Amino acid sequence: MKISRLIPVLTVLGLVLTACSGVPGASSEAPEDAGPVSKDVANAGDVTLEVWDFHNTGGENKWAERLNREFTDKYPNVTIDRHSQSFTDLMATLNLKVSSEDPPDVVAANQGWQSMGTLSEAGLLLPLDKYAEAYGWQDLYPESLLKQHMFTRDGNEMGKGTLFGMPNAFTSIVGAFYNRTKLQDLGLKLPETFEEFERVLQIAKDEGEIPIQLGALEQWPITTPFFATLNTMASQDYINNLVYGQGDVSFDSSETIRAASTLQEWAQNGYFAPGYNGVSVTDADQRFAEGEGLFIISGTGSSATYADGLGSDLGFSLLPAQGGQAPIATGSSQSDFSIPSGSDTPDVAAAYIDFFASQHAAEVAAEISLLPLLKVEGAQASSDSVYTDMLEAQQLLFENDAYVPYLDWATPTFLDTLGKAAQSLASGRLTPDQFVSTGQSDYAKFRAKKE
Amino acid sequence: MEASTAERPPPGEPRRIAYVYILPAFFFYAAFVLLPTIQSGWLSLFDWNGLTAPTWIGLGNYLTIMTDPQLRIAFVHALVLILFYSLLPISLGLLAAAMMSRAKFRGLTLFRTVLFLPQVIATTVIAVVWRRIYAPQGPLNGVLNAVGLDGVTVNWLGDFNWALPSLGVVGTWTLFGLCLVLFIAGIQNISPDLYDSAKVDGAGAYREFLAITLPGLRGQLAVAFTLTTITALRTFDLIFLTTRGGPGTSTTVPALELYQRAFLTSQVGLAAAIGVALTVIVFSVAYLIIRFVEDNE
Repeated sequence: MKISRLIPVLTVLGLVLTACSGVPGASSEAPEDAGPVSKDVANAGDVTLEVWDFHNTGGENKWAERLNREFTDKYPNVTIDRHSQSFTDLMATLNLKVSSEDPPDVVAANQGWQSMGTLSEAGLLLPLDKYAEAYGWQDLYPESLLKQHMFTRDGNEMGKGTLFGMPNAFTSIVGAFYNRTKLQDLGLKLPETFEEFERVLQIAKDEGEIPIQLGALEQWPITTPFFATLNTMASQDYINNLVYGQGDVSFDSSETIRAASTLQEWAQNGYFAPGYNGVSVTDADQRFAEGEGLFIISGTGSSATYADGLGSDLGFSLLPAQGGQAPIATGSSQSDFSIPSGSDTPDVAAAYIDFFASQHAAEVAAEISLLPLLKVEGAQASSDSVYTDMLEAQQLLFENDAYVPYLDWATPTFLDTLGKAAQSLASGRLTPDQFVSTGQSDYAKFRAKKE
Repeated sequence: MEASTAERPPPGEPRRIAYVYILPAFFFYAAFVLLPTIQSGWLSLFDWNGLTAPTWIGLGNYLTIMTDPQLRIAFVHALVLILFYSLLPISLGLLAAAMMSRAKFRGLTLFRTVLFLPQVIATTVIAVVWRRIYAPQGPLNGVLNAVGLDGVTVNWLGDFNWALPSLGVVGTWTLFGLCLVLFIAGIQNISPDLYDSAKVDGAGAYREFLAITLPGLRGQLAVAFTLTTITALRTFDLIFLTTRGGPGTSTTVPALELYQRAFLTSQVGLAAAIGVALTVIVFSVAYLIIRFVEDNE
């Protein structure tokens, strides 16, 4: 063969071999978890901690900034390199960042299979059991909360096994924020049963108010009212088993169908803000803060945004359960921290995580009107009316141990699948049965992989 | 080597020296385009979440593309967008170019510049601006209300039926100027003698257009078709910044599905397969256009 013919052939061959060489994916060597723990940060030398979180707005940002300042004041040898962005943006880049050659030292992975589960299965997160022992985390937090950050090493089960993340000491529970003045003007009082709640929605609609403010452009926000409604009609065991994949549970059940029908009814009756599919969740939050809308179903983490606009007009309440039971609500730590296994300063990172999970961090949260995850004495002393509401709700859940995990943790694609399907359900394009089967096929496909 | 002036080879010989000249550029091209493309093809044969070890599934991902309703509809939407991004701007461009080149009026350059402007603006800016225009309380509905057409006002980007056409119109607006400029330039290259002889033969405007203008624009039509259909098939930023594929799945397109699978739902192998499928489609369309539109005499 002539040399000139050989060259292009060799080039192509070379390219193909280079491109296909090497198995893609990280080498999932199990990270070292034996070894001594050093709690001595002061003598750890000059350390830069790279932290990736999503506390980029409002009260959460204030909390994070204050704790960062206190940590560096206490340990001047530590510099914190903080990268803060929105939840959606962080989730899109987190997997790549953690699997890179030089990962950050502390990351806010999301609980559930989309994020923490996949990362821990790939061996990219450091097991935290030895730090839990050293810092006494099992005594600080109840099992039900720590469970939310546990995965088995083979990556097959969530809710047990090894600890891969620690909560940040403030919580978000999902409920209904309301505009007190509007409620009064309509001559109504806060509904105590689900039936009353629906009646209030209808009256608000009749009087020309927006019953429920909503922005569903990003698609996932429309799952919030769905999950909240499901919580009013399903048992805690059902939701726990569904999310943690225990037992032979199906997403296709009478409760989910009823919750789906309710969502559809509300949308068809015009209870949601007009044009909600074209409004982003941030815009909807802003509009509610400016007084548009009687209710907004959201997590307490957003309270600072609403309080900025509504001030003392803002109130909070859990969605009343049906059948007169005690309410259960979606709640967990608003965020948590994990340590990528490639971090070169794991001990300092662990001390940082401990600081953000500590009783002190919970007290700072209470000062900024965030809901502390731990019991903080004297928190009721706050004159902030919505804060009292939220605290009451949290206490109720705490006493009845009525927390349930976020439903979208159940599979890596659940939030995406249900978000799209819920939009179609709300507009009448899917029947509740079809919506639930869409969810179930996603759920079943994932569970089949885990068997 | 003996090199008397008479026997020195002409400049540019041996031809093989050309390869040395293109080597630097080729290096970058290979590293940033060819290699990743081949690697994507390789990855598309696996089921991979981007982190743990991949599983070989051969053509399984391609089977998913053909059977998963969400992915199928993404490709259907890409075809719908071809209507708005390609056929519409080209037709309007031809019409406008034909009219403009017949009339002689001042300010033609200004017209051309203004109509071409959308091409120069970044797609992200276009997306943000049009999102405002289409907003439920935005200027479009404002104008419709003002002229008494409030029955027609719709939540354009949030409506299951209107979202895709609304985004299509944005594409038409963006690409119309490009087609217009291409065709005006092309018409100016057609020899006026042809028009004169046609007029002598008694041809009206319509005949002229069909017999002279259109065939004379073959080359430009091929370019216009190629550029616009590729833009339609590759669309991502416009959809991402306005509807994210919603409401439901009514505006999803292959590029958006690729993004979501690669970064949000940890289905990297499937994302690679979508990329490969899209590449194959784009190449096929481009080939067909060249074959049938361009003058191959």
